[in-house]
Amino acid sequence: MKKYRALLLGDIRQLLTDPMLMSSLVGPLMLIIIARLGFPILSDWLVQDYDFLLDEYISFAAVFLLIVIPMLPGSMSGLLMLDERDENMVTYFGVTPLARAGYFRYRLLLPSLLTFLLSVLFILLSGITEIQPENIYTVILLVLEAPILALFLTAFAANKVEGLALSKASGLLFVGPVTAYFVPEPWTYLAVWVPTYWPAQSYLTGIAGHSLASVGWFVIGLVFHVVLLTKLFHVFLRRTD
Amino acid sequence: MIMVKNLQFKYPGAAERTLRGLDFSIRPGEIFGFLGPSGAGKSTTQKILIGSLKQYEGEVQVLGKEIRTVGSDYYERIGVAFEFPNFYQKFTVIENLRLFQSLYAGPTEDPRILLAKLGLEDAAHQKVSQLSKGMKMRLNFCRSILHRPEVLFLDEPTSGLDPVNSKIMKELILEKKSEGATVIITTHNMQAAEELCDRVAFIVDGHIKLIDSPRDLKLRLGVRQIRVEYRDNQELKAEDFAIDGIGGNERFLQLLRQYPIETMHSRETTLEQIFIDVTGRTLT
Repeated sequence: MKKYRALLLGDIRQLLTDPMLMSSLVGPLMLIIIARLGFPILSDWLVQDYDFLLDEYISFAAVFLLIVIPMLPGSMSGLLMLDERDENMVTYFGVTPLARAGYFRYRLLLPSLLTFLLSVLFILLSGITEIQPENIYTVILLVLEAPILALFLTAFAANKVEGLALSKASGLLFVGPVTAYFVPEPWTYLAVWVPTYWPAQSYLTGIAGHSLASVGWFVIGLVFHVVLLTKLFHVFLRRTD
Repeated sequence: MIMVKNLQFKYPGAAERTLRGLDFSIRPGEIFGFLGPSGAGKSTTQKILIGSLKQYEGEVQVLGKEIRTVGSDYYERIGVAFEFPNFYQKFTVIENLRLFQSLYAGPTEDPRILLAKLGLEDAAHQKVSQLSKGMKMRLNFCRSILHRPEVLFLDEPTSGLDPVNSKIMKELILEKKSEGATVIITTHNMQAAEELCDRVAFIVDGHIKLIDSPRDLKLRLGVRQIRVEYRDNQELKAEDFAIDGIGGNERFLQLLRQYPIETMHSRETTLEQIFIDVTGRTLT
């Protein structure tokens, strides 16, 4: 545990000096505040001035904001890994008692843990989510998305600058919840290759009362996420060695 | 301390083996050097010894354990300094050392005392990115001995260092030896190897061509002669004389009396020349 505490202290030090990294922690907390305080205000204003019922889209807003949560710690971890690869730190960790396995464990589990805590906080405190058993499925899939994004950056970016550009491109992940909510069958299935599509479907079918469908989205989504995670990990290893 | 038998290694996808049957052993407290040109297999040998490459054939035992089977606790007992110092550039020297210190479960040195020993105490609160190459190399060495390792692996420890820093580094390595550590150096710097190593192994094309102490090699393969260069009228001439009994060599004494001497050198060989003679290769 001492080893991981040392790495965590190092990360906190980096976080405090780098606003970009800091935003990965502050961002999800801001989302909770925006959802909690901003959503009702926006909703009232739209009803009064435009006769538009934003509340009808509350589940979309919830799932849309939820999938942002893993993106932030995920890209933070990915950018730190790119830095560490550029500096050959991974090679050095490999010849300490931490070992490469310990390093990977830390770098991939930390964003998962943060995503778990922050998404649970979001579900409990944002005021726009439905408290339902199916949320467990959504959270599990989100927890897997954080290391997927971290590995995606490290697998396809050659350095931190490219990593930053790629993390911007991760905005494409919004296609998942948008398609799940707005696009009718069968066209909606075109988005199955987008990871965020699966937790969005699991959450939305749960709200609609289709418990079985929610389990289905979760189980197949889980397999998809695990396969993706494994593949990306191998690409990452190839690029690191 | 280290025992290697018939070590062979082939990188995945490579057509040929990088190591083609190495045999050697390294005694406790010895400074042992692997010398060879780039691509000869010395870095691969080191990677196997530090447990980074485990798909080798043959036997490789370090500290009584087969490397293929060692776990992360092996790294409590060995220290490694790679050629290019890898640190968190944005952290200070002391922050870096404290972080790496925390990775070890066993007893460690006080980073401040080590820094003072290496002449880096004033740099303790500087960011690593602000250090000169020489300082980074010393810091790199400092980190490799933080946990009092029994075996120390150093890759090109004097690479890119000016003569002053190079001397400091050599003294530090000798100090570790005097404390009982076994040191394995990988280098193509013959002079450093000559000054530091108790024994050297010449590696070329995945084979060890020779293992011996630099001193014995020079004695055995060197020429005990003195070459005198002198001016005869306008012409520059040279003549060689056996060192033994040179005081009574009439021709030698006559040259000294009769001609203006330009240079006079003993013709002892260098490790580099021995390497070229034995392997038929240069080190670059």
